[in-house]
Amino acid sequence: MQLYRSMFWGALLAGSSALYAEDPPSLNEIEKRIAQLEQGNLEPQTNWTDQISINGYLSYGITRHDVHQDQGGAPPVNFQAGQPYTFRNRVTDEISHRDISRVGLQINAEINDKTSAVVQLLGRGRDNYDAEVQWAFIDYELLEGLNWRGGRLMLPNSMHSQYLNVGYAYHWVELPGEVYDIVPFDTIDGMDLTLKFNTGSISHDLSAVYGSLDVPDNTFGVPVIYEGRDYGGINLRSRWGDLMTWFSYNHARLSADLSSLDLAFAMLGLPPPGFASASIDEAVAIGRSVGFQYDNGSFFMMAERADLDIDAWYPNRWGGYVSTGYRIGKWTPHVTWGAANTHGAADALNDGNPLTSGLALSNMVRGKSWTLGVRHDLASGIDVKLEAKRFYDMSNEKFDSVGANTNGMFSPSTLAGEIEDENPVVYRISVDAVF
Amino acid sequence: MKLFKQCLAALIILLPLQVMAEVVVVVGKDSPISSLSESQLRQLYLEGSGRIGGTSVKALDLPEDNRARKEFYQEAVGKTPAQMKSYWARMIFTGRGAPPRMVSGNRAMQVMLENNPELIGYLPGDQVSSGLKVLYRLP
Repeated sequence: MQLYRSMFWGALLAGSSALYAEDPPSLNEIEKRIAQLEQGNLEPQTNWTDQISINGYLSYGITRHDVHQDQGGAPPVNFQAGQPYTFRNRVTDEISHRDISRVGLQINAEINDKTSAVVQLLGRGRDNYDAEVQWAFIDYELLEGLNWRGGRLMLPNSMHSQYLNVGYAYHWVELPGEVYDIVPFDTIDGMDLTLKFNTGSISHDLSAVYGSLDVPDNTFGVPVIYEGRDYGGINLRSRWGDLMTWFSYNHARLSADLSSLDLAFAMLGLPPPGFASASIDEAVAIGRSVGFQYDNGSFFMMAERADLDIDAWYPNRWGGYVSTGYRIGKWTPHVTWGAANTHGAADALNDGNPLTSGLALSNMVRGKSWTLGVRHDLASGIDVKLEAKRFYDMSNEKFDSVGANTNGMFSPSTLAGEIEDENPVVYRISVDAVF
Repeated sequence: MKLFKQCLAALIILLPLQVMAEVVVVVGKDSPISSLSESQLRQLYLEGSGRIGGTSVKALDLPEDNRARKEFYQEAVGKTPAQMKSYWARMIFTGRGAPPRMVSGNRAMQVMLENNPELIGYLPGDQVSSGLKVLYRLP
């Protein structure tokens, strides 16, 4: 792993000649280049820099929330009792320099007129910058406008999913969790087929994806592998001038053997709670999302809604947001309203198994939020962003059952007790670059 | 007063020079491409490369701080430099395309186009050399 990490950073440094970071050439440099061109070094195919390109992105971010309260409960119900509440399992009321910091490095190789290969590595601060592969595929142009890609791809679940780590590509420090936390997986091993076509002045990208995923999870301190099989989906991105629309539908069979969690309890000398009975066996999971974006260069507005229904104890969840902003020179103030809710866990709550009903109640998320933020473009390819996200309405009055989580995306109240502050705020600052 | 009038006259003469010359889309004289529609041009610069009349072409860009480039994108693609930067960040890191290759200036653009029939670019109207042909004039 050490070697792998060294190679990753070595490659990152080697990428300094990349496309985005091109310094204005000196007059001498221009003369030299023109002289080279005029001497006949003009065939792009003879120059390897025309076939290989290296690009990258980097975000350094700091984040914290303002819930100055320790979690309640006690083991074995809550092993984090006495520790600060977490937001999305990670952020606490102490400043974190790691949680949202990340770096990505991408190598594109043009193999011939119709074929190319792309590899993108991502290192997250919260994973100690250990590199993982986000994209690794061969792209082949079957017909004009019809491309096939095979390998590892990022999941096209929602409008911004496939570039969710590229902070420079959007105005927030982080994409709204109401939509982008719904599906806890971000890559798939498989293939996609994309058709580009026009209807009048509207251009479309119609894409179908098929594959599988195996996602190890260590949330409970022991490994559990979530398996997605026959993951198939279709999405359509259409552009008409400044307007863009997005539709997607995805379907998969999801399995997870939770019996290892019982073993973990047994090893601690505690009675096994019976997690095996909550294992998921080929549950049908369906995800849908719809969104639009309008951007005329100065004013922009976007909205999106996503749903995930899993035929198991995991409650069905939806989330959405509306966001708008205005570019004034290098400044972009923006505001976003978001909402998330869960429903449809009645089967789990009424099946007589206290474990599945407990898991269902803990995984219920309800909440609304306002996010105020500003982006400042320091120079071409680098920005600094600040934002504050204030939650409200995290009550459980509309849930299927009393006893559900009322802490929204913070540590669930079913395990840690209720947060006293009804309007917790999450703060984030980031510097994002692309090169 | 005389000096003032002279200054004013000089300003009036110089003023048109401050107005941006028109931007034209050009290819080398040897390029098989003889015409280009507005939508083909827009698509080409949103994808970085493409096919025009069965010929594969790659687009070239002038440097980011070049005024002709800003004018070209506003007129041909309808996008500001900030929009294009975000757009390419999305395209590059989803493996859906690479931006046009950037040349170092007008002279380099001329030389590249004159010698490579598979390239297409744009220049201020007064920078079209004898080895180039104009495909499109931006309004």
